[in-house]
Amino acid sequence: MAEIELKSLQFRREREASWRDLEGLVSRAESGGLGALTAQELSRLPQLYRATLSALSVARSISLDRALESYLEALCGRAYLVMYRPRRDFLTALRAFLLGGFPRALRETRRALLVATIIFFAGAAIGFVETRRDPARFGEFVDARLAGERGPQSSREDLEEVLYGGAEQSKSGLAAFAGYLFWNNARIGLASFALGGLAGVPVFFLMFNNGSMLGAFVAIHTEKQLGFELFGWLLPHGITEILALLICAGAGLHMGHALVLPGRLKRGDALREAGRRAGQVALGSVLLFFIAGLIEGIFRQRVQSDLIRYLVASLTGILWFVYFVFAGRVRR
Amino acid sequence: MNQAAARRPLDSTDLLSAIGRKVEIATPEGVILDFRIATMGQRGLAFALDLFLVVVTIFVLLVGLVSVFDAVGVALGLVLWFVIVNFYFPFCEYRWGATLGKRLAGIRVIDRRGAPLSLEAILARNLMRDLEFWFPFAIYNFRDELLGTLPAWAAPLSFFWVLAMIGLPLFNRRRLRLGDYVGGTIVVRAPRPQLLKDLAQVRGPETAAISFTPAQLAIYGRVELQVLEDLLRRPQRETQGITARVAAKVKKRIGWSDEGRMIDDRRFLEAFYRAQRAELERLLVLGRARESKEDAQAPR
Repeated sequence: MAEIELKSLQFRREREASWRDLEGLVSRAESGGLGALTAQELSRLPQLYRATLSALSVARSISLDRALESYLEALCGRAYLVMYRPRRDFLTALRAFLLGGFPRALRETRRALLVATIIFFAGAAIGFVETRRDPARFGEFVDARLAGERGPQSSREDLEEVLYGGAEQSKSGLAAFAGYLFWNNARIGLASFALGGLAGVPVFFLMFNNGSMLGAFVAIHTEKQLGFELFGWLLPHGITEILALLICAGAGLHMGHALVLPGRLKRGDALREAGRRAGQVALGSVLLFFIAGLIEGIFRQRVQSDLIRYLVASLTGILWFVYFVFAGRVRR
Repeated sequence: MNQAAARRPLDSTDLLSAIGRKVEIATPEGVILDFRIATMGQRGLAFALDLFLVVVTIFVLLVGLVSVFDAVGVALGLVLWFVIVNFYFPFCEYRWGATLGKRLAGIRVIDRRGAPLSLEAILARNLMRDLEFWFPFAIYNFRDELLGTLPAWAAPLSFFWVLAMIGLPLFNRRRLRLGDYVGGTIVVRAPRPQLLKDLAQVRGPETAAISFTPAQLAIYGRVELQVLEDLLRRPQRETQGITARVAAKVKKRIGWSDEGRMIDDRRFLEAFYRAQRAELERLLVLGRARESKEDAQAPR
């Protein structure tokens, strides 16, 4: 008997060739990028994509054939991912991040950075004052393993030895040392970023403790009139390193803030927004740790002159100030 | 959504896609696309593959650099290590939406809101992975620097925090890990379109000879039709017993008699599928879509 063709079969027969066409274009673009397509194919791709999307909508409302629907679903999904792939290549995007995205994100999280800084320097002040008052308290602020041989009992000569020593170390040893320092510091910085998610509470302690440690160190040096020399030893890498640490802590606090007080947003959305900024900031700080590690491991151990040390320190300070305040500003 | 699924005892969508939960992504064209969420197994496999690749690469690089440059090689190696660990994942995911491991596991990263993946999102999610995975080790290695200076109650608290962070994907429906929350991304199966033959088209002369009365086609609806489709699409050797039972059940329900003819159960079901679909399509065009057999029995 002569049968009327099913509407759904007709629908499929009329469009199947264009679906196959899209499938071919998409799989070529997936492996070779959009550059693998000719100009003519490139103009056909969005047309085919939209036609297939509308076929999917039709199939969803009328098709009883589930296999057809899931085919169109998968094809549209794949074509969509090709159509809306990132336009820029990785290095271009990375450059844009370093020249604009990172300093911008940092400016957006500056309140958290300020809070982290205040806690850090409050810790430093307390560590300094307390250690000056009673040098025996040095041990309470500084872990013995971190202090090395330095402590309130150290003589002026011992302390000087640390500040100006290290020149006899071989060059290759220094490079490895720099690599190690960078690795170590970056991990600690990222850890304080991660801990920020815990409502920021551990970050308060971390910053306070690190600050008080610094304060105690400064105290035992100024006591023996080595303050100027200590800062010459500390600041060339310290400005970059402490800044990076504060940035990481600030990023952590920024996330913690979004988690505790999401404001008008849903908590997940607030975390997403804050995380986007905080993630950029923390990633950028890795670069700072890297530079600090280089200065600390190579420069500090080889240069003994206080003048050059202070010169480099102020140079890094100015550099970061200009970078974070002015880079990536959009002209209006 | 789960409640709705529980109310309907038999839903063909559950049968065909029992292999993965779905997530809806709205495209800029305003069409909602369904992607299937990657399972924890796939993601674990992908990560293990990637980790293996990275570790082997770094090991070879380190050995090579140290043998050529001695101690400077160690420093160079450490820096390269950091660069590879931190940039392999973002580079691949930004470029192809998937690392090599993900590709082999058949999954990829997409933006949860349907936008193109941004570098920031990719960087953020991978930075967090670094933390989620390495952080427990880092905490252990630097426990004195990190926890030694904290008050006593903070150590167990940090421990639980780390546990919660690692276990996060197990506790949410979309299998988002912390990095996915922060980056606004989700890991889905890479869609693989496969166009199967339309069952209504495949028919031999034997199938064509079987016909049904309108009354026999007025019983079942869309849901039952699609369950039947699933059955017919499965390989025949898997479904021999089921085919016979289903055929018997359908024959009884619609009051069909063989009239002495010997009809193969599968042929019968194919013919019934085609006839039923033609009937339901006709009703659909008339605006009287029939959802299921309950729907068919309800007074109109």
